[in-house]
Amino acid sequence: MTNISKSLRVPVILLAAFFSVASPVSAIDLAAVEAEWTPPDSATPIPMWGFIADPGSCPAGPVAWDVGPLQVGSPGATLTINLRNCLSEPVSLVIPGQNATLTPVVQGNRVTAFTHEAPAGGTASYTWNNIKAGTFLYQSGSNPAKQVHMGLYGALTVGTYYQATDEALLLYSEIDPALHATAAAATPLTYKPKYFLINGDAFAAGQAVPVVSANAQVNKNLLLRFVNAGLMAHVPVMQGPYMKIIAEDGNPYPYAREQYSVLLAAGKTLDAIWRPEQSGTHALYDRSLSLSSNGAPGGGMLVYLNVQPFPWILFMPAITGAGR
Amino acid sequence: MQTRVIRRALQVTVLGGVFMVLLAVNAGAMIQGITGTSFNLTATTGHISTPDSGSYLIWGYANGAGLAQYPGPTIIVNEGDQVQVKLTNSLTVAGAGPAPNVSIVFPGQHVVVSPTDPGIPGILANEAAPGGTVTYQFTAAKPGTYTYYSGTDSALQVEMGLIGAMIVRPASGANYAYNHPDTQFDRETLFLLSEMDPRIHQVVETFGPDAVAATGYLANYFPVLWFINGRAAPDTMADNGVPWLPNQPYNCMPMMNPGDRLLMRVIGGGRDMHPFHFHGNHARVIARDGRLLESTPGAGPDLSHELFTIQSQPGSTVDAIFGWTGQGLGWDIYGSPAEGPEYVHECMDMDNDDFDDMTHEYCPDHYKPFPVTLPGSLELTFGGFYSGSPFLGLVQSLPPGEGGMNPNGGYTYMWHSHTEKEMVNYDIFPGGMMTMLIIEAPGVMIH
Repeated sequence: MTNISKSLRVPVILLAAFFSVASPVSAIDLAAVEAEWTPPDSATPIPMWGFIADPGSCPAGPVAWDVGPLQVGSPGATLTINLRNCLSEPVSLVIPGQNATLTPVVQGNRVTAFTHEAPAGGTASYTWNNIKAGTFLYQSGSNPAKQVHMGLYGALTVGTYYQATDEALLLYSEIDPALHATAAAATPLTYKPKYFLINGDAFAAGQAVPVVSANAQVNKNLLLRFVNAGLMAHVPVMQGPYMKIIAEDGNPYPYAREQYSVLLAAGKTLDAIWRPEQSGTHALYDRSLSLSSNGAPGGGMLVYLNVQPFPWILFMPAITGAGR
Repeated sequence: MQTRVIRRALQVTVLGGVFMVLLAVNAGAMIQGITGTSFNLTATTGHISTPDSGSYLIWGYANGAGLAQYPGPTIIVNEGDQVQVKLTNSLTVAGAGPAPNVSIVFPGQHVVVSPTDPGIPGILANEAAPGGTVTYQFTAAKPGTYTYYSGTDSALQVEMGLIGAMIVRPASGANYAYNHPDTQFDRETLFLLSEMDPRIHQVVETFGPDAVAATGYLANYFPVLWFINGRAAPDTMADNGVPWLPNQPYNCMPMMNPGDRLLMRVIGGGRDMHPFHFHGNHARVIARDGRLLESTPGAGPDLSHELFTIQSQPGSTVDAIFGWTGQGLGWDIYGSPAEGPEYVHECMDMDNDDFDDMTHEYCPDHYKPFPVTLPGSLELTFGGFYSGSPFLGLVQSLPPGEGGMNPNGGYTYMWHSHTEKEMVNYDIFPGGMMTMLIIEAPGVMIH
């Protein structure tokens, strides 16, 4: 079987050249706000809650919902997130897989939040020492069965992979509009999502397929960071090529796993290296068939990964995108 | 009568310890499918039967002008083949809308379309318009277990039945899964797992596919039928190609002799995960998605591991090798003299691997007595698989009308989805995603 010296070798194709360390990020200011998201088949927006970069005061009305700002830090750094709560109930913030001293909120015999909260209209600060490299999900730690599917989530990426010259984030989530119309009365027991999103966008039949990662290049390693913020498992499949899955939940595998499909359970993150052999568009879609939009077939969790032809002007990091 | 002769011969062989001629793997131990390098598939309609008397419209891939199949024909090619698959769209639908386009995607293959028959561009693949064709070409570059399915409105068309399996046999030979000695097998069985929500099929049959969106069923999916190779139990155990299942030609009847290596090719054909659970022993998972679990190319399956439940994911494939000898039972599966003089037999282990060189009996348990005192037959209720004897290969007297499903005195193990609700046919237990493994005594022909 496996010997130790072998298991220390990650047999992914190593790209020997460019990488740099992103500058340390010490503090990020976020706000939890009321938001809204307009589905592809209706002009009526769906009420959401979301994390946005803190504008300094609470917005006057709902903002356009997005999956929260992408956080880039350096491994080993101390990360502080200051959270302003513009919602009507307490909110907190947790990052599964990153170490923090959690102080759960207990009401009676019941834990209602994984850690200390920002009260409605108030603020709170969260700190993670010695932050770990990899791909993570951050989300509300308060009544998560309700607040997470309301939209309080986002991806945190820490550090870079030296095997990859570029990367693409793929954050999967779902929306069940029935639970958003009256958030206070919502119960996740009836969760039956109608919209299936990648990076906050849902694709519907007849629309242009969303394109991700315009910087991907032939014969260059592209890092795919898969994050599932939804409540269901999905199985992203790349049509044709294989990926090398190198890490799960921010933990590297001893050996890469060569697969065309990825089991992405709820709350899970996976990192994969893909080395495109052909330029053009490559479909990445959910083989668990969340390929509908409000019940209509032909939409859902589908993106094109766009790959540029091989750049003949080499050694120009500005063009190759190295150093991200 | 033939069965009786075999059984008699077997008793002589096993109990007398007589030297036996090893039987070569016969063609029947291999997975059935269509072979060659050029294939003509037709997307067309048909009806499947379920054991609860259900009949449901499917869209299936047919072999040429044949009937729609659920699943489609298993495409069996050889490593390095230049494969061509011509798809003809013969779908017809109810309702006012047109028949849909249809396509095939082959995950893991670099597919191009023929310049002379390119079809029309679609989102995941080029498609055949109603009445039209498209021809896909690819090189079966690497051996393994693969799947194919419709890349057009997959949420609906996969549910309707446009799914299939593909096997690429390695250069090492048809009894290898991959190009490494550790992947050699004696027998192989396909387990293409799928599920169905009949409401969708009824809407399509009555009102046409355009009516599905308004029902919301694709976002409120609720399957009540579960299949292996397109059949729900107990139909899984009927023969291949039985005339009463014209649209479901493939069975799932794993059979083996002790010591055989049974290759399990497990494919997630539907949209749900299925924890496929096998009794009798663990199996060693050697590959996923058609790639050996190896640390470096050529190392063989050195990252393989044992499981007793394979978590099958939609669209993904798993290869595992299952073995069974009776090791670990703690008693002699061929009986001991304590049970009677007719059970005298040898355990000949010339190569010191702890197993009889012919019968694969586990010699450390040789002559260990059967640990149960069997009740009298008047105190028992019998199942159809009981042979009348606890010992492998023996058939003993049963009350009139009992037994009969196990003519060679084999051992049976249930293999099934461990999501227990999937072992039903529309709420009727047992059924669904379930079959039986039969361990036949050494020397019993398996076909």
